[in-house]
Amino acid sequence: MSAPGSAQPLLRLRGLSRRFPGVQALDNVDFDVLPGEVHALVGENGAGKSTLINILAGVLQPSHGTVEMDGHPIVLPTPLAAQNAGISVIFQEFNLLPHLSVAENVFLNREPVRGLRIDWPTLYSRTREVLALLDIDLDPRTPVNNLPVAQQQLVEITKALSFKSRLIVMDEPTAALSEREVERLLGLVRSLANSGAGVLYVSHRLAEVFQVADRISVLRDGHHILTAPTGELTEQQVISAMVGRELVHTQCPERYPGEMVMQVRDLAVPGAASGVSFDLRAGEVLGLAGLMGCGSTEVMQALFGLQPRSAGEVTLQGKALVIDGPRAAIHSGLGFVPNDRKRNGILPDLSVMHNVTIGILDRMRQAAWIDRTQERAVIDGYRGKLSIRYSNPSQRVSGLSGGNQQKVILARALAEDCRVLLLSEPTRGVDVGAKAEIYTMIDRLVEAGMAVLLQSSELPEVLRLANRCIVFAGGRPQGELSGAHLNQAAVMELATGLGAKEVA
Amino acid sequence: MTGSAQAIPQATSRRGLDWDVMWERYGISAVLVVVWAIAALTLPNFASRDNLLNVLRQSSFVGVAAVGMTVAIIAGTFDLSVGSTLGLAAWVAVAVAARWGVLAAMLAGVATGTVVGSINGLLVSRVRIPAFITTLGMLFIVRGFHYVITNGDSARFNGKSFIWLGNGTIAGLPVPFWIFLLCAALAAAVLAYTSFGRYVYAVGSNSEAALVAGVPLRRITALVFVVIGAFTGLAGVLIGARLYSAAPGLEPGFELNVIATVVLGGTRLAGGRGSMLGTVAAASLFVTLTNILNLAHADPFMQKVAVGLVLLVALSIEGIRQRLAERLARS
Amino acid sequence: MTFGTTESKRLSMSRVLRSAQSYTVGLAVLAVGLVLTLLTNRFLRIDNVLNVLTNASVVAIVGLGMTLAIASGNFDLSVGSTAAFAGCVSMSLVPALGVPLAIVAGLVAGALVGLVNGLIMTELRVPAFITTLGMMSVVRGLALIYTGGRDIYLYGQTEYKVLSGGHLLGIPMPVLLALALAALLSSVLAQTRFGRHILAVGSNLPSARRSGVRTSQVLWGIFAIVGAAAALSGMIISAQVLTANGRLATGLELNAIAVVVVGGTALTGGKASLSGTLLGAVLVAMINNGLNLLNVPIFYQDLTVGLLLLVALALQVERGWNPLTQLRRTQ
Repeated sequence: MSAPGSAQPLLRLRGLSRRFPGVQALDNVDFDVLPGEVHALVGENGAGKSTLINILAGVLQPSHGTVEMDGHPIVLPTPLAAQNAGISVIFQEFNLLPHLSVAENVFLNREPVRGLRIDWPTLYSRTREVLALLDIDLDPRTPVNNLPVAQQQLVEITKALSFKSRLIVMDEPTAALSEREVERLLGLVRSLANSGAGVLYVSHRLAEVFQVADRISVLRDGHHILTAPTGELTEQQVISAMVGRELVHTQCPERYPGEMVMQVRDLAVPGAASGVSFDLRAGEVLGLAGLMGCGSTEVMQALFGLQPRSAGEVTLQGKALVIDGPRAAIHSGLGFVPNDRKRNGILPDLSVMHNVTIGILDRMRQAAWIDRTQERAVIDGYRGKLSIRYSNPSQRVSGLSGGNQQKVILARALAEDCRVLLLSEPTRGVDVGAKAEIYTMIDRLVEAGMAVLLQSSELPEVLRLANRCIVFAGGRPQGELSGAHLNQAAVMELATGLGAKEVA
Repeated sequence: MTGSAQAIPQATSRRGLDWDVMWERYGISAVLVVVWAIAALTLPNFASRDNLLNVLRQSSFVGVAAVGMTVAIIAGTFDLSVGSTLGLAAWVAVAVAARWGVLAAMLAGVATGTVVGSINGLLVSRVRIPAFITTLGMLFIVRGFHYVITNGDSARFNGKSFIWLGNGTIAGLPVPFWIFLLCAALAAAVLAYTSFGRYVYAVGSNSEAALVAGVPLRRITALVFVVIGAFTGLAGVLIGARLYSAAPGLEPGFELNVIATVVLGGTRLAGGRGSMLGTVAAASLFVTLTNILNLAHADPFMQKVAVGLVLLVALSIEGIRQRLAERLARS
Repeated sequence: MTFGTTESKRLSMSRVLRSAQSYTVGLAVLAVGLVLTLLTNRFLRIDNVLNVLTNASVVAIVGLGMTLAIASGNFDLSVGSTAAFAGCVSMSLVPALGVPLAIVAGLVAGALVGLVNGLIMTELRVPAFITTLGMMSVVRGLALIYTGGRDIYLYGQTEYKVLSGGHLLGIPMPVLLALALAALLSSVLAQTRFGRHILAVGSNLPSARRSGVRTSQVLWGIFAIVGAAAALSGMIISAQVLTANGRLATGLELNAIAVVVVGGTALTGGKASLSGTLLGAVLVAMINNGLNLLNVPIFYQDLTVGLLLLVALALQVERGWNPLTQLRRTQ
């Protein structure tokens, strides 16, 4: 990846700062994006990436500092202003209107009109023109909700192009894409840059960043740490910069598997996965790894009764597991930490305490009334064990940070005295400190005999926690890895579908 | 509103939350006290015993039904059929009272409401028809059923104990009001201290998360409708006893009054939180308003306008506060 | 949400089912018509058919406006009150302004009420449910105050009757008006920016706003249209008996919502089926007419409408909607 030619930066941030009550989200950030370059912005959660994106999107205003385009300071008071300034932001949650067509989405509020009526032929032809710029094959008349996620993202990109945006900001663009779609997207990003636009590529995924970016900038705790051409950096350096310390533990501690707890044979989840078989023992962590869309998430959900199984047998502690939903699953001894705490994890209006005890109310009852002292004891216990930070167990859980919310959900599963703990993306959107605390907790649980099934698309997490790992790709298990063979390269190889081999 | 930012950290929300919580839980009660104070000082007949008793009595009918509706709205749903159920239960109560006495009448009325509630519950939780449509349909069906079985005639009964149920007093306060308070207290206790209550909050807060957490979603949803039905049935008994008669088409727009009462009381339609105390206060507030207008010899039709305005104003306050908070966050 | 084949298979299945839905109502109309023709020879008599269509049109007109509101993810509970208000205003101005201008005045009155609804929703951030609930009370109160609770008669001025009694080529005026309105709104929805933005708002309000769509203004426009449509219905109803009072059109809102839902427009928003609404209104009118002709007591009409509603929803594909969690529609 060669450095782009033009010297005048497209975007320059000078001393950009943003303060919220009690928190300095961005502190004196300086960096620039050159036209024709793919500039990656990396950083952990809480580093300030979201704040920066929202400032560029015209959603937030900086407290200090300036944003310059082509050397001129600009103000971005509204999303529309940002758009008009030539900045397009593609958020993780798409800004699309599912019931309307591709063309209407791309040209929303700019539909060509003849008198009072929309000029449909012109609308469609203009859309086709923009689609052709990046060789995207979509029918402009298709309603967007008929498109799979990857293609919906293409609509977003087309929209950005239609504005002839000079700066395109992408927020975690590959989060919901399959392996092949990721490759396609990276190619598109490169084309975008080659056509003269500047791309600010914000992502956690270092592999992709190193693949596509010309320069990488790192933010940490609101500060700009470094910016350098990709060729001059190693992944370790970037991670160190992100985290601020040399990584101590990337190695999984020694685990001592005990008795057999769960056996799965030929599990199939319609439309997602098939042929899944494994054994799980007490005291071990079995990882289900793979990139987004590999089917591992659905396997977890099927085991917990959130998705139907079309085939397969599951035995839990010797007995066949037949469940029709989460309630039965919990009853059978399964604990679950879902992968999207905001959507199906936390009960936002309820207190921290109530969130933790919601699954064990039956145990804390005296006749019909809930024993509050017992409840309090439970939450106090988990507060200590998991280092959950809150000021008062009766405060609303929605006020806690992501990491603490995740701990609350973990506490909920643990309180249910599960025999097998199912963790689905357990530290997604969680800051580094909380991540480490959660990992330590998992280690302790496993040492005490818990059987853990860990599904994660974050490779370092899998390597840190799992002593054994099944790698998925395209809905099928590609192989099982453990011991010395359980390393990044081997997992990646299987996850990309190259080489399915059994390595013990 | 913002893209993917979790921009506003805890500090603000904690400080801002305190006011929210206070207003939600105690706002309307405070307003009620203030209104009563002002009315007592400015209107000659307001503070008379008879008048106050009347206000309390009148607020009980909508109030009892509102207790049930509060539970429903906290659970994230609501019931549009309560008006029709009320009428049917009232009629059943009056008819039964004539033959088998007050106690049987109460049971029959509550049972009627419970049956309607069970049907609602079944349709929403099993057949999965959205609550709006289900209860809208049942509004028509129950009303129609009521007309059909009565042929448009009303039922009448003036047995002494039955009349006393709707019109008598105990220890100086109207019987219906005691029942209202009891219902509110019972419901509040159930919500705060039982697993059913906890599940109701969970379902209203985030039904998907509740399901994943092991809450018996379908059962709770169905039960919530049974609860509204039962309370509505009781309200019907009280109204039947008050008027000692019941005819179809008894209280048009009742369901919307009930919902308005709950919402005015601080329970938000989004679910997940609520205030039973607020419901009690709001029921009294609405009746107090009409009472004040009466005493002040205002145009009787002004009442309708006033009632609507109060609802709008009370909820605008929240909306305005939201806007201010947003403007603060942006700048 | 990320899989290829099965996902797209599932999508195309639901797409087929969804388009089949718009045929369902039509089929139901044909089926019921057939049954009624066989049951009684009075059904197909021309004057009866025109009667049915006229009755259908009155509800259909409001329903058409309501369809737009529902497509945007909202609804309007105040249409009955608006109809009464506009009918009263219009009729009372006939002596002063003459019939044509009085009719225009009525429409303007209705549009203004709708505009106020929209403003409360967008500027004061009060959810549609509460806004229109409150306005329902306020506007009806205003209508009653305006008329002093009395009826407004039009003695000699029979030109007003054109609204309900006029013909063109034998087709009654209300039917013509309904068809004209349907054609107009259909065109607006399909061809104009405003119409597409209505669907945009219903599809994803925050995204629409971020793209610069003036969501507030879209909502004002929608509710102004609903108000005007309600006004038109109200005026037709008044014209039928040349009398207007503050109590007319009670319950119209629920009937209007019912026909929209039966017609297939999903409460979730983003899509609109105007033809479905027309057919839904015809279906309900046909059923009521049939019951009359068959000498079934009038009381059964409510029952059948309710059952129809539930059956229609039990068959609908796009169901899971909870109005209470869709509050952000106007924010």
